[in-house]
Amino acid sequence: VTPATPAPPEALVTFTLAGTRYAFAVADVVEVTAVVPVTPVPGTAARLVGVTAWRGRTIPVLDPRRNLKREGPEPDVLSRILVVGRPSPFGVLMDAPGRVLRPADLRPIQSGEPAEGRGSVPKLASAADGLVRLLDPEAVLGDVRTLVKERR
Amino acid sequence: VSELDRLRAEFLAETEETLEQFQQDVNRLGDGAEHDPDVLDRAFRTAHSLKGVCGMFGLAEMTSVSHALENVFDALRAERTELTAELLDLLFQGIDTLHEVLARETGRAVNGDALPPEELIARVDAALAHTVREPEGLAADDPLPAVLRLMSPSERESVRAAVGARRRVAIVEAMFPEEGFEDPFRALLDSIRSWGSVHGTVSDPPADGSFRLRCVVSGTEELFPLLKAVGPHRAEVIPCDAERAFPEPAPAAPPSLAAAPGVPPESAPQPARAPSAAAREGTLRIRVERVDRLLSELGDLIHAKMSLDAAAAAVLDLTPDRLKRTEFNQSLRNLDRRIRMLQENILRVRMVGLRTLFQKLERTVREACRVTGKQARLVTRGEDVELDKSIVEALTEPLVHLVRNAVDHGLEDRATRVRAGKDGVGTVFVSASTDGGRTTLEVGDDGGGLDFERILLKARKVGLVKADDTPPHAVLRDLVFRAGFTVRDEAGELSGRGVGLDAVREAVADLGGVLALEERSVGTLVRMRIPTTLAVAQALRVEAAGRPYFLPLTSVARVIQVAPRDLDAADEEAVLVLDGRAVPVRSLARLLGAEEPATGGPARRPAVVLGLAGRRLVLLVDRLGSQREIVVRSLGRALPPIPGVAGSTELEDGRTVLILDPAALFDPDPPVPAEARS
Repeated sequence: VTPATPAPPEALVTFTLAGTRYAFAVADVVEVTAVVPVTPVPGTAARLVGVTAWRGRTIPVLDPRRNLKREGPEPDVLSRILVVGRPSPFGVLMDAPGRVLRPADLRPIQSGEPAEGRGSVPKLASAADGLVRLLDPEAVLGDVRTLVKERR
Repeated sequence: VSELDRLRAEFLAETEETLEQFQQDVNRLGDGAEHDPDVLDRAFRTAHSLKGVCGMFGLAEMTSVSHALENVFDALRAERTELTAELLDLLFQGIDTLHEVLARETGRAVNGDALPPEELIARVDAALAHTVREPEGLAADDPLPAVLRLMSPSERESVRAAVGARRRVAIVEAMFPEEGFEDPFRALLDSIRSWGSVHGTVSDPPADGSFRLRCVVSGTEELFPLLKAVGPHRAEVIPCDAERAFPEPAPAAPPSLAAAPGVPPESAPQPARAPSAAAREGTLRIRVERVDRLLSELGDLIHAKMSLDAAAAAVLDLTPDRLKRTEFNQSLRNLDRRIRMLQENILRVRMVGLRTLFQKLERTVREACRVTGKQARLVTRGEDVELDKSIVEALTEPLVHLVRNAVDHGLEDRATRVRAGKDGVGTVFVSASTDGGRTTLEVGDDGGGLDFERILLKARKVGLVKADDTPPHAVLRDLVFRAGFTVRDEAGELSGRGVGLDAVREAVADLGGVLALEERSVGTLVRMRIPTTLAVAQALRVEAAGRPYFLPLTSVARVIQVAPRDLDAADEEAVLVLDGRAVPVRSLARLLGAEEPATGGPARRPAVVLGLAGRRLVLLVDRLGSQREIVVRSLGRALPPIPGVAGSTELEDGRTVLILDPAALFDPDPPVPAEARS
């Protein structure tokens, strides 16, 4: 990791998934849900864990580890999800919610590109109790077309 | 979302309605109303107002196209051109282009059929260049006749009445800045009204930040010079020879039209009236997402009620008091009724009438007649039948295709019809009727009917039927729905490429409907039965690979039990003979990319016989569940369409269950093995 010029970070909502600590900027988080059943969808990429009902609508649930080339969970699990993204929200799989980190708690290690209308969001930050890997909702959702397996 | 964005979104939504009215007016012009000043004026105002507001929102393409169409209406109402077939066609094409640009601006799918804006504008300009003639026989120094032609009929009548009352008529011409013209304009009107009447105003398109405005005024001649003194500088008073413009005596004008001081100007430069304003009286525009949201909330209410039912059953079993049990059950039933009524009312909000779609078909008939040289009229019935908005949208293309087909293939040319003792003008009819849950749509014609001899010849030629085989009419009728089959030897502008009827049948099947082609004593009839609404559906629950799924009941023909010994093999595919027909057999688990459950031996397995657009499929499942009503939800906007999945619904325990798309089960992609999910 190459230290870069520290940028003013935003408050972060942290969560753990398979032992790794992740975070979204607080402005990206819509809701932290209780345990919900996730239904897998046949013919879709593995990073789409499935779909679930949330506030009267159906939303996709994604596994951020799949983007990071890490091992994913078994589908059809009862999971906690963090609902992120506006105006089309989606769920991100998590094991447990963590605490909210304020800018003062964080020391950016690796700078990210400044998001439009916002300050720079560091990709990796150090808090008093360890490292936090920061996620961007758009990057987690990625190109939605790749969620469906190509027809052969 | 900024205020401007909100206004822009509202304007774009309103423009849909504006274009519908526009289409209606152009239809009327094409139906012989090309000299009707009311229709011409309204169409001109629509184009003019569209141009202005589009410009305000920075919609450059829509502004330019509206401007081109405005030029056509301007030339038509000033009688500088005739409505030629070319101009009429360009007006229709212009509306198509506007629709397409609008779709792009609102993020909807664009089919790309319409002319690109720049090509449309070039064609309009070229058509006007060779059809517009300069006014003849007008006094070069008297602008009144030209200005009168640009005024509305009621404005013209008020001028005529002023002439009848021996008042002198003049045109007051003034230049106004584009920005901030309101105050000097009001000052001019006030000064005119102090000595006479304003009958109407006509403005030129702005150039270099200003525009020329001409007011037709009347009063006593000696007061004209006074106007020069009190009006804004640069105003010019041009006395006109109004008697020459109105050689006929004025008809008895209604009092409201008589020119009198203080009568407000009827056509001050204000935005054109929204064409459908009258139609919208007493209505409320609601965003579809809001209605869908209500529907989702209702879905939650239904699920909560189902949970309550289950809990109540358990509690009531333990209650010895029979009277209390009865009371409680009555309350539950009452709640059920209320929920059902609420559901019906919310669904009704999504319903739209078929009138607009039927109007579009008038144009289809006209264009088909132009291309084929045939003569036809469209007769419609059931315009007020209402269907879910999404169904009407999905039905538009299939209906256009069927109507075009009816003219091209169904109707005979005029000479043939007359020889057969028929009216030389053929009839295409489209009707809609509903029994509540399902709607029947019929498209028919009074033509020569299906030419089975020709179908048979062509089928033999392309190898669909053996040379010595003569299948019954029912089989031949089915051939016209096969992809690529056409009786035409050469493709024409309208049809003959063998693309279409199969797509129509698929589109109807996608809606959970069925389509049948019927022979009649005269002509041909295509009958479609479709659900009236898509949002709530009856579905059959099945299980495969350990998970529940729903199948729309509209595609379920029946449920059966199948033993391995019942199956035969054909073309490397398992088939089951049902009603004398070999029906393919597929396992739902395998179609979903999962492993087959180990059956071990001759065990019978439950199966669903699916029926879709005349095709059948036996779908082996692990378990059959019950039939029930489900609230259909989409998979959410964050997901692209997923092949094989029509939507989702929620069980009372909160689990989401996928609704399968039966059409995709008939023609599936190769299964995706579980291990390939990476």
